[in-house]
Amino acid sequence: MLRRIACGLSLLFVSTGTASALPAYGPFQVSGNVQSQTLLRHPDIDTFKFIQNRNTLRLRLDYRMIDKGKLAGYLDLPWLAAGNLYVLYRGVYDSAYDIAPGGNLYDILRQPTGSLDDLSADTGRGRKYENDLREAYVDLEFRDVPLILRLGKQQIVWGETDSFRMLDRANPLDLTWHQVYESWDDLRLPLWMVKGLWHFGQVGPLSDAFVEAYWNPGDWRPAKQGFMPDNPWGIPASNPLAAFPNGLYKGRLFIQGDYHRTPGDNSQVGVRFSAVAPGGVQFTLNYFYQRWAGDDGTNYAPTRAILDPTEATDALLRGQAPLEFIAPYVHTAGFSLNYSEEEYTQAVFRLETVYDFGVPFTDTAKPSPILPGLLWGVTKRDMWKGMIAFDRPTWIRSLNRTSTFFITGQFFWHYLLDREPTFIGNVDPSIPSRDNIRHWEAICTLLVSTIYAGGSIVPTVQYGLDPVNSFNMYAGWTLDYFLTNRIIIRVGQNYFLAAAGAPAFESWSIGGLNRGRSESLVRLTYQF
Amino acid sequence: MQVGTMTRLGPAQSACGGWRVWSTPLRLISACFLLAAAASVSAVEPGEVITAANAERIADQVSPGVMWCIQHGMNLTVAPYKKIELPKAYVTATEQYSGQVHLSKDGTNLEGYVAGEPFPTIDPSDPAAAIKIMWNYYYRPYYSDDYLWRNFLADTGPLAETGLTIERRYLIQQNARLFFNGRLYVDPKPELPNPQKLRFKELTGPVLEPLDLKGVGQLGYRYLDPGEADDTWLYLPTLRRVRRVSSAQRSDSVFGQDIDADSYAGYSGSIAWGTWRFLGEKTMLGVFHARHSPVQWCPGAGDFAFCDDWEPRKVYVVEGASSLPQYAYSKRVLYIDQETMWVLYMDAYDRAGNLWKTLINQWRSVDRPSSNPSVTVYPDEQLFNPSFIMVDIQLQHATRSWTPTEHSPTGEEEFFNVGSEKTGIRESHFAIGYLTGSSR
Repeated sequence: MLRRIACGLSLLFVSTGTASALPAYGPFQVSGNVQSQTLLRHPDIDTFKFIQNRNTLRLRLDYRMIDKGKLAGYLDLPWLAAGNLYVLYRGVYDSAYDIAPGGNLYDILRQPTGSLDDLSADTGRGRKYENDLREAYVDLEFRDVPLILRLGKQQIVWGETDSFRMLDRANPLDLTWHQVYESWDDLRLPLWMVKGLWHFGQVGPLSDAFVEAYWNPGDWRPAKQGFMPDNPWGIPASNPLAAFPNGLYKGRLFIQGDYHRTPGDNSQVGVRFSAVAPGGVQFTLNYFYQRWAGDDGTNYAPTRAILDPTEATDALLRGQAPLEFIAPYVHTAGFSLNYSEEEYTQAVFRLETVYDFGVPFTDTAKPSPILPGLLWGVTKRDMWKGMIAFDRPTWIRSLNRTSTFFITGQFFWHYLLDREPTFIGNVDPSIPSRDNIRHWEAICTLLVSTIYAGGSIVPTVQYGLDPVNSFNMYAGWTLDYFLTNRIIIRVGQNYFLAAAGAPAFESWSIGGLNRGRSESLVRLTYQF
Repeated sequence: MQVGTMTRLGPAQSACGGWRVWSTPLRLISACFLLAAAASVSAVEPGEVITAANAERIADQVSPGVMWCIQHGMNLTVAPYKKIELPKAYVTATEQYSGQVHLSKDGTNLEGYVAGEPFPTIDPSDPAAAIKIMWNYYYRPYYSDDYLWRNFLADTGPLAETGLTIERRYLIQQNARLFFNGRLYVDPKPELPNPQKLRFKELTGPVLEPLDLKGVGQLGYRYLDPGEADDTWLYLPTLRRVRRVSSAQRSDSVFGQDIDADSYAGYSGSIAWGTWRFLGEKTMLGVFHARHSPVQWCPGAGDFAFCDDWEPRKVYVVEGASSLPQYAYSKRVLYIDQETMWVLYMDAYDRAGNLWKTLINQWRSVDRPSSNPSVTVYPDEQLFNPSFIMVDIQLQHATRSWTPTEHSPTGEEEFFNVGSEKTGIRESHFAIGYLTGSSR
């Protein structure tokens, strides 16, 4: 049905020549796109496998409903200066689940996990469609106080990082979407929240000072994960609970733990202060109190064994894994800054760092009383994480004489305090010495992009290196070509390079976890 | 008026209509040549249409870049000169404060400046003539308190026989500036509370079209201290956050267009970020009383450019070379109208010294933006900018930008010094917090 709607809409726009009938500016704006993305996986040079044909419709509405204190031009709201409504709908149909190409997909150990053809009709139906009101919120700007409120289903993004995240944690990620080829605003799970920003302006020697805070009154869920073969780009393993027809003893894996989605049981809050210091350094101080989403690359424990023997045995008899899904509350303090150094380097430098209190790790010192070699309890530890980066527009006139190359490099680190030797990761602990929990994890990224032909050709290359885990690497490129202002063709490839030729469970899932997942992409977009 | 001295408060047509003052023998030789060429000025009569076929008739009255555009399809109609009276508040401030203004010792800044024109009298033999003209340009009239250009379109693409082939079209909600010093109309004046020592803040965006850039917005700060670089923040919808960006590469193309940050209006950088050379004064053709708003593009191959009435204007010709690192251009030549101090056109040269790009402005000196009864009527004429074009002569590629468009309900898309009540854009909007809190 969605495909028919998408085709119908695209025919409508094509048949009218342009979308000029839609208001592009003024108080009421409608815009959107229809997009078809096809992925081919090529684990080696001889093998190509069709794994995705995602057709997406996005519809966006912007409505300036309050202007100069008047609602819809009539009703006086003298305490408000402006108000805007924003709605974004996303509908998806992935034909790969109907075409159902055969051929096995493989897990990280190169073991077959089945194919899309093996999925039941129910499972396929659940995977191929999405019908989602992504965002729906109202912005209210007050007249006499420097306050802006955003109320509704939204994304909140703090911090300075690209590609990976630390302070960007108000919204968990939907990792059943492709991690490499999707933009972050498609990966985040928008949540119903209240956000307020109070602009102070000058505070002593600080300029542009503001405080921003949000409250999520219960609409929170952990990162959404998928397994093989349902999600060919999800976790590179079969569902570990397949042997337990009734799931977990408590909670649902990667969906919800032992809590209710109510303000009393599931509220999340965050607050930050931002200002520009004399000399031009912009900094933020951040604090969060929220459940652990598990999507920042940390090799944390999403589950813990039931340590009470009676409870564990009862669960097993009911066909449940004697485990509970956990998403504990974690305090996080963070700091970020940026500085534009124009004299010597002409570069912007970025820094971000957080301290997490009490992240759960699987601890083999706490074995399950009934499955002691397979399941364990957890121990909480603090973590220090950070990133330092630069952005530099750089002229390389021999390659492009009209636009600079935007070059950005980042170095990330994670440090686990008081690591115990009994900590292990989560991916098949039966493989010795492969799923280590280390004191230090690190990764470097580099991205270069430029613009040709008046903005109609945009090539990008990117590279990632994990110096801790066998120097595994990622390399990729994309090329966007704007055939017209409305029709965009994107082609691209990514290559995951596992230097050691063996599985490696690195934190950020580049060459190790994703080995054998090199892919090529073709994406067509019609935007209006 | 003394010999060899030009006075802007009492503008008069040059006796010879061509170059007036040169300070070196070499320039005198050039001046003689150009004076001879200038004799052809009288041969062009108001009402005459200039096309590629007869472009040579005005070869000495337009820049090389404009000449290239005419030869590639741009047409113009010669119109009689019309005097432009500057806003009274600006003239009064000039009379009140200019006597106390002088250049700093290194020439890179002004001392004693309050408002109005810093140097109403320019002596061409003054070694500092060029920098004084540029400071006059920096504090030119009309842009004194605040400014808003909204709902503007920008097309970019290659030139072809059939006209501009549009590769990308951008629709941007607004470009707004708030000036902190030199204010003449809106309280507090002449200066806003200014702990950051700012010249202005600028808010551009959000982009309304195309969808892949919808929501992009930019905030920029320009400081009074010319030794301080601009600060720039960009909201990127795909990131959903505000990002600090380097403002060092001011000659970099904007969204891949032919225009760059420094070339808006002719030159948009700080005066201290380059060296300036006074080439003399001349009478050139330029558009200051545009007949068409919305703009009327030339027919056929010339539709990358506006077709309008071009009148003889007395200009300062100033050459500038940027001192910023890795700058794209070796120099730019500005043709600055002596009455208004706004640029008719600007030619930019590549690092090998060859003509690369040209920017041409369409100005319209009127007291109201249209005849619609609901629009703002100003007590003085303002200089509206229905369009400008930037042409990459070497790549034969152009960007044209304009407002109002044919969709504008009243034709009013520009506002001068009217304050926040009229525009709805408040001082608190020029802030990182606003960009962060309101962008989507």
